[in-house]
Amino acid sequence: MDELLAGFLEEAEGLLENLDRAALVLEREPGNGDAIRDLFRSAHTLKGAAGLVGAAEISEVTHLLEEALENVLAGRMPFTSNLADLLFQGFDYVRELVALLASGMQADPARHVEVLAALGALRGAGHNTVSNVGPQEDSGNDYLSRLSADARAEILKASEREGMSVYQVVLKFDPEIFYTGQDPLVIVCEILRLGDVVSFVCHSESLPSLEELDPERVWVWFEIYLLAPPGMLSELRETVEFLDPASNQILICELKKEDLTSLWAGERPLSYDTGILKEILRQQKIYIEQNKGRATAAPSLERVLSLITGAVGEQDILDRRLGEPDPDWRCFNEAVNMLEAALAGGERMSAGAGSEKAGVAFTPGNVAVSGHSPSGASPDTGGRKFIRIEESQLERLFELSGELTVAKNSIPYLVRKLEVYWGIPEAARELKEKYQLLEQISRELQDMVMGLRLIPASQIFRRFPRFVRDVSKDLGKKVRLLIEGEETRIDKTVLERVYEPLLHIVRNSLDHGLEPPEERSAAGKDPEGTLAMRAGQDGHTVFIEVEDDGRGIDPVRVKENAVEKGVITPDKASLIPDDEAVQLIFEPGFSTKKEVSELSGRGVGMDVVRDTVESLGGSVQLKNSPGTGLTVRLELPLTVATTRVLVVRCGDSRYGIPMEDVQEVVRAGSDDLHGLGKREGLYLRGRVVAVTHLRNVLGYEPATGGDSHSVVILRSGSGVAVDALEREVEILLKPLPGDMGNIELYTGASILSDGSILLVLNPRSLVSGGVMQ
Amino acid sequence: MAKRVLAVDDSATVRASVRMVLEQAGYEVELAADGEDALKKIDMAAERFHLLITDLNMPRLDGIGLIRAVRSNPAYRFTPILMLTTESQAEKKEEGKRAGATGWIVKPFQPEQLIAVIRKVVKI
Amino acid sequence: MTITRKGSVLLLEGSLSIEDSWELKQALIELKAETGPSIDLRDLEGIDLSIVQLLLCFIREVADVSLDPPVQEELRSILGAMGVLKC
Repeated sequence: MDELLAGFLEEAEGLLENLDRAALVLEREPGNGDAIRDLFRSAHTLKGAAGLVGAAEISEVTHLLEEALENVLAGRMPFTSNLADLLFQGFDYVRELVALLASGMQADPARHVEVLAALGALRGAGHNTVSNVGPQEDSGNDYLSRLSADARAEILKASEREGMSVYQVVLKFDPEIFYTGQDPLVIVCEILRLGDVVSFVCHSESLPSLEELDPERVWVWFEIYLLAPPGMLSELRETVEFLDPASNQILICELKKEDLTSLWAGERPLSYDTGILKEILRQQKIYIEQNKGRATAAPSLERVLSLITGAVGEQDILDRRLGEPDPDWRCFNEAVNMLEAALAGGERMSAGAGSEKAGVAFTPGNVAVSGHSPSGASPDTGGRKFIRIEESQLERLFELSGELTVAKNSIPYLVRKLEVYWGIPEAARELKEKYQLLEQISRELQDMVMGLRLIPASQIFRRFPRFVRDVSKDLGKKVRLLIEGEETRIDKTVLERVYEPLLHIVRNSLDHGLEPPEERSAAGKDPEGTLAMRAGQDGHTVFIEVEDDGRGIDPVRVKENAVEKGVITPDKASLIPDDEAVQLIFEPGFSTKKEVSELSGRGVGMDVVRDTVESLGGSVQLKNSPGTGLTVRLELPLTVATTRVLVVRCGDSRYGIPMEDVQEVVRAGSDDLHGLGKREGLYLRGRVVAVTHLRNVLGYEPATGGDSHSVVILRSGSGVAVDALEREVEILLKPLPGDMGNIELYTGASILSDGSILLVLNPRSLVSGGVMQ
Repeated sequence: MAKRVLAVDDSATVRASVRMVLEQAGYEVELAADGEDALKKIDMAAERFHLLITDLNMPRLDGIGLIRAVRSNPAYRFTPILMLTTESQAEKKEEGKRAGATGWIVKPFQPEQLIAVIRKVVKI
Repeated sequence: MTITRKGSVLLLEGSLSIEDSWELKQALIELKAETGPSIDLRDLEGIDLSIVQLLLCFIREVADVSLDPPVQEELRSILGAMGVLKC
């Protein structure tokens, strides 16, 4: 008897013992996670070993056992007494086979078939997710909707070819197809030979790790787009003639160009189709389902975690995740539920308007959010669907989306820890993959949520005709108001914050800019002045401008006023060239205290206008033509990108540390910090963390000993000791202007809501020993 | 290396024509007259066959029985098996599939048809 | 068909199919432990999906593996299409 076989016999004996033992435990305690994992592992190992030595019958039987055990492990099947019976039957038969193998005898085929049939009952709970028995779960349009922009471009180009058709072929084979003697690769190649390949994807997202891969099953599926003459459908269908439609999901159809363009045209960057939303939701739900963190949940994160605990024994991690739903996952859940509710509400609203085309799951449509009032719908409704979302819901959604972004950021840290600290690279790799998927989804969700915040400029523009009429009447001026580009979409927050500044600018125009009718006539102008409000988009920025054809700003007068109000000295004033003089209006103190905003009750000068606009990440520009008019142009960012920072105190000043760089915060007494060369070290959970004092870095006097410190532990692994921690805020980070931008220590600054300036630190420079000295 | 095919049919004519078509297409062909003969050839073969083509109605061990026996041979668990059927044998065809056959060819067939079907199942 | 390993090189020759898959899996698992692993597919003559899956799995997990593509053009284009070889 050869060595390999002898080795197998020994191993098999041990494994069978294991199997019996674990099954007995599990029968008594059906919830015992260790037992089920043990059971599954043993069966899997036995199957592999049997395959290696060519013990096919043993392999076959253990395959059935393994399948059933996987279902139990994944929570799809309960471990009942009946199941235990069947398993024991299986184990006994395997023992029989092993004994036969040992004595060099063949298995009895009839008996074998009999036992397999009996054990067939193990299949009760059904197969795993790769193929589903029954009708297609996805339609052709669903696959088309998920294609990347590149693939779509290729397919559209191909569909333009005269006299040729594009065929869509989706092949999801029965995972057990190999046992029918069929190799899916042969079919795929046959199909590829029938035309020119426009797009070919071998989807491998279900492919497990190498160790877990059962090579006798199919784990991948195929999506093929082929260019071929019309009428090839029958030939294509012939290639899959032998496949059992009950266990193989095959989709073959001929695509028409009009269907493609109408399907994909519905998706514009600033509005969202219900189809896409649904798809995002679906993917999120799958992800949530897979990663609820409970012991009976399906693999992915759970399996990775059990890999960790199996190898390292850090039970507390697993416990924490198993105990209750992780708050990170709650984020998902909430966001998903809200979106679904919103969608459901919208669909109910327009029920009867659109209709489901028979056999097509996708319904073209647009989702837009109406802002403050019922008339918020876009002008050209033309058959599109709209839904209404409560503002508070939207805010919450936005918050959650942001929280999600932050929450997922702890995963790369875990990946590194797995790799380096615990030395389980396979787990790290799996986790990393899941994180990438998570990041994709989270980013898409953020983009989408951001998009929901865009509302047309008309929302604020429409308040102005009345305002202009009233004010101009009061002032005795004749004004014609022009509004252009009101359909331009701008972030809701930006628009809201810019409203008051706009009021001020318009008021200025009406008050100081536009002359009374007589003066205008005298100057040869139309007695009726024109005030134009325009909005438009320029690449990544959006602008709103107010143009009047009044007096413009007289540089001489401005300088006089500035000197009068003490804003600049007379000497300085004479040095300023005329065309730069207009900028003086932005100086604080330029506005008289008498100008009080009707709405807010506080002084609104151009300086406040500029501050407000700049705090949004925008800028104010003036185009001044003395005598002919003034244009005030506000450039605004398309979206409001916020960063979360942790505000810390050092001395009397406040600084920000980006939350994405923060791992955790701890308190350390002076005796927790030990000298470590030029810096200090903090002992934290078995590791030494190098700690730098922020005071040292910034050039403050060193902290006196005996104080306890708050230490911010960065993701990079080092720590920063600060005087005190304050709160977390969400800010608009702007780079430091001019030369200051070159200082490595700061990544930027922001204006807080109370008007103070927060300098945000660059963590990398903090721990490189400090930059300023 | 040529792919090896075992063709099983009780009709000598069928056997001869299958051999001719397949050898012309570059396959190496061995023949058997019935199920038991086929099993013997399989046992004695120095190398595994890459494809088995079998009629369903044969004396001694018939097609279905042969398919079952072949599938229970560990070396042939994944080997493609094609059935030679006639129009009226729909039920037998189903039985054959359940027993583990991969596909079928309907008799009488043109040579090109035979080759086309084989290309759908024989591995690359 | 043969699967042989010489240090950090895994040599696959002849026709490989599912019957060889467990052996290949084992060989690939062992190859993971090598630094700078490479798989020589030049003399590969036949393949099926089971083998492709194993190779896909391997290259996904081992970033720095180098593959010598098969000499046979048909096999080369199949492996390229499947994503095993980078074109």
